Amino acid sequence: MLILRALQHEPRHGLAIADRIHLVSADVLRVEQGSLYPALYRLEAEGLIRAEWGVSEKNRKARFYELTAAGRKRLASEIEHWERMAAAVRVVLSKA
Amino acid sequence: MRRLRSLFFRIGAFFRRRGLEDEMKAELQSHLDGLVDRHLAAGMSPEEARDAARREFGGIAQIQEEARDARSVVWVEHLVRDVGYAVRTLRKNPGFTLVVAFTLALGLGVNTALFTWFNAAAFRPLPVPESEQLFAITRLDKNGNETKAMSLVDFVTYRDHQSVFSGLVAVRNMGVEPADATEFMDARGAKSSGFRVETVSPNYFAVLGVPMALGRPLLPSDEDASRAQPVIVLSHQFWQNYLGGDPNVIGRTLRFRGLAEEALSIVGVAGPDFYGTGPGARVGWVPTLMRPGESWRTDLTATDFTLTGRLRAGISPEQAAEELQAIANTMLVRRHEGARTGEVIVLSKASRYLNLSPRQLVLMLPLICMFGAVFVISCANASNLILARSMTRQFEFAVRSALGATRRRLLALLVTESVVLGLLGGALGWALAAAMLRFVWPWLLDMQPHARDGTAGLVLTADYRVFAFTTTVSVLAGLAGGLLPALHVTRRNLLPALNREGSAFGRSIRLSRARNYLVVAQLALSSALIFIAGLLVHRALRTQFYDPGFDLSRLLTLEVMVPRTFGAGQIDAARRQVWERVRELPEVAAISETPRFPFSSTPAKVSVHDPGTAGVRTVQVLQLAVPASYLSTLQLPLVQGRFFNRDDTPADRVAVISETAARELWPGRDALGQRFEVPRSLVAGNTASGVERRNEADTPHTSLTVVGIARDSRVFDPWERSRSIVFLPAPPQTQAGAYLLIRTPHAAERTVATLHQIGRDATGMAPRVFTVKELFAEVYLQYRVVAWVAGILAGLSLIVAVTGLYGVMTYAVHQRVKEIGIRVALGASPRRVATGVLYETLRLVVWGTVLGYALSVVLAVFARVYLFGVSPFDPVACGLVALFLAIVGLLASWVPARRAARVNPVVALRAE
Repeated sequence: MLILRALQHEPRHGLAIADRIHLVSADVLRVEQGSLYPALYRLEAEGLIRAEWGVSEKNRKARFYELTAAGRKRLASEIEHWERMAAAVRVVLSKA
Repeated sequence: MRRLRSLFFRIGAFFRRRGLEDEMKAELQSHLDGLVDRHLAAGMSPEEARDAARREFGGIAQIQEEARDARSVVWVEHLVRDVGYAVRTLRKNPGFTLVVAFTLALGLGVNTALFTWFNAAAFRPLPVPESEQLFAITRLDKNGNETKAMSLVDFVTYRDHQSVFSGLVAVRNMGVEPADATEFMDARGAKSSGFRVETVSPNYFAVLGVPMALGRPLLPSDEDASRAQPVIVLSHQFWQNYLGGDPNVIGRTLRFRGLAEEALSIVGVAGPDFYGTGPGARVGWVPTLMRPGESWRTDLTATDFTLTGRLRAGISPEQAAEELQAIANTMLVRRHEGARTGEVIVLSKASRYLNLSPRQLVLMLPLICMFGAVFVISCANASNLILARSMTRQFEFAVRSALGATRRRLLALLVTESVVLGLLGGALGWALAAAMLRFVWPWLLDMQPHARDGTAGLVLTADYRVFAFTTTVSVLAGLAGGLLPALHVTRRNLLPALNREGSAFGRSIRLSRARNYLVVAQLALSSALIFIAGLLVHRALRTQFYDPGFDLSRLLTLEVMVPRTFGAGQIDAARRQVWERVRELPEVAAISETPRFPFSSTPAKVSVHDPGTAGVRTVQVLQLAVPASYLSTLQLPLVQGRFFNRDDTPADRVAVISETAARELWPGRDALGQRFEVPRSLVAGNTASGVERRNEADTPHTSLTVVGIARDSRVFDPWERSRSIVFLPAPPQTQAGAYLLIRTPHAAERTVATLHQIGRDATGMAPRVFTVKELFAEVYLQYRVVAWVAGILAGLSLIVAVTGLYGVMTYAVHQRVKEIGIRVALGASPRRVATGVLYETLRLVVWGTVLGYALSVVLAVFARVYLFGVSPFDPVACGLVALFLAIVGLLASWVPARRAARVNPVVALRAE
């Protein structure tokens, strides 16, 4: 889900995705960078993102990923699901 | 949906994997470089930057592995690679590979051959269209015994009243002889066991839908008695083998004895694969009318036919059986004096040559188990060998493990290797099975021409079922053989392997134990097989030395054959003529009419007053009503008293009994002159065979006096001499009997031709003449074949077991070279060392044999039905097992013991 979110606004390459997650979560979520890739490939196999070779800001060849329509739909449903979960948990916690 | 797309993507990725692999490497590298750049920009030195980047990134190799998993159908990739590795490894060790493959091939080959046989008999459908619709009408009696034997009366009744079959045919199989013996020469020159013809209802070909190769099939008009010339349709096999496949055969005449008319005009040849509703070589098919005699048409007890029908669509077998049952109850039971009362009609499948009911399958279980045992032994042996070899690869696998290979992957690797071995063994086994079916099976059959002709038509070639079977079993064998060693080699504890510790004192005891258990299991199974084979062989051999209790080398039976056009008066006259002429022959010492011979008698209960308790004792006996000269013709040895003479009639109330009957009825006393009670219906002379007597309690009894006691013989039971038999004088017949028993002063075979001539002169047809020796041999023959098969299996398993034991002991010595070296260095004599090895080997062998023997005794108790007559403590079989022990022990331990004795302590201690 985090990867999908990171790609919500524009295509990014692997390093950039890692940075984004890192940044947006305000450093709370630190992932071993390499482990992004299995997840990326899985999402690619499922057709939620697609990839293309391009050139990065540093003039390096990199593979850029972007969301597909299916990916967007998935992101939306995942977010909704997550928020429902969080709300429920909040309710439970507050009741106690 | 997502999964599906993912699957497609992954399959696509599999084919593009090299390109994708490069791409992935480039991508990861680029990411890494990006991180390095950042660190450099932050001021680190290049090495620091690189280290930091790597740490941030994570383990590259593992990431790559996971990434590959995520995007491609990885397991296929792995499989392909593993198979490649397996093939390379196996090629580098040809000796090991061949031995294991060969071991497996023995077990797999034997089982493939068995399955091919089964496939031909029980799985392949009959070569007629829609064979699934074919059902045979079956009768079940009160005791659950089933039979498909029907009479013509049954056939006509069902045919005329049923509505569930679209067609019903009646089939009877009978033996015939060519009128001129030299007329038919088999293309292979093989001895024929006799020719068989099927007399069938004329709708046979139409109902079954048999394709024809030449001419026309039988038609209803062929049953017309007024036809000028009777017809026959030949089987393809007969046409090819005996008539050379001559295309101009239509219209030719064949002449056979045993049919109502001798000259038959050929009207057609059946298609190539058709042998009838059951396997067996046949000359061909003739209309039912061709069967000689009259009585069988109206006699309900002349049950020589099987009735097979094509079930109409939409009707279940149960429904059809109900209707047939109703017909049977109204038409048959009522009209024929209560015969068949209480019988249930069912339909049994007739779509294969061998339609196995679950019951019959259970009977075949021992055979299947024996083959299965050979398979298990092979697998155990293979497992042992693989285990032994895997020990030498421990180091390699420890290293792989340390480098990060998961246990799963290593197991997959090893299991793939053993499955490849299994498939290799399967391929060899396939070849072995083919060879066995081509050479061994015909050789077995040639021993008994009856069996060969009886199983013609079984297509013993491989089809997809056999292939599937062999492949599955090969894979299973590979798994069974390789799983245990694989599990052992990939265990977690790497240190000993990495330190290259050989198995020094006491280490890997668990492994030796595992190996030993395997070997003991193999030996147990082998010795069980040998034991069983010994039992069977012993019994088969014994049948050759069975004392029948009377001299059967000079006896013949003769059945007078009459054409169907003869009336009752003519038949009687013909029989009398035969009797007179045979009696006058100088070569004939004695002659008697006889009931069907041999082994014919019916059970009965007789009772005797016991003076001791003043009560009545009942004894179950076999009884037979015989003409006056029967017993003297048979030359049954007489113990006391006399046989019947011409004046004895049933009214005289006399009987002759066997020794055993005398013992059972009057134990410890003289039986001569004693009296006993039998149901009156017996004496009245109405002894139609096969009709059971019930209600013994309220049947009036009459008492008979014993006038003679005969020696026990096998003429009424081929397996048991000591039967209680009661002979009664047969009532004087108004009609001459059809069967004659003839004794000649010299060997019976010499008189056969003369008898043929006499019969032909009287009726125009040659009679059926058999020597009693032939008749007996037929009964015992099947046991010989079984004994041979068992013997072969046991022999094979012996080879496998010895190889296994040898391998294990050699390896054990090899492993413990260091230990032995130390022992020798410390002063043990080489002889002591060798003896030690010998002891250990023998210990295994003894364990295995004892267990095997225990197993066989248990089996023998359960499988008594197969082995009646031979006890589990049979000396021959036990002797064989002991021999087995000795041979195996010696062969297997000789070389390893010598090698152990020759260990040079200096070399051993230095070597690693």
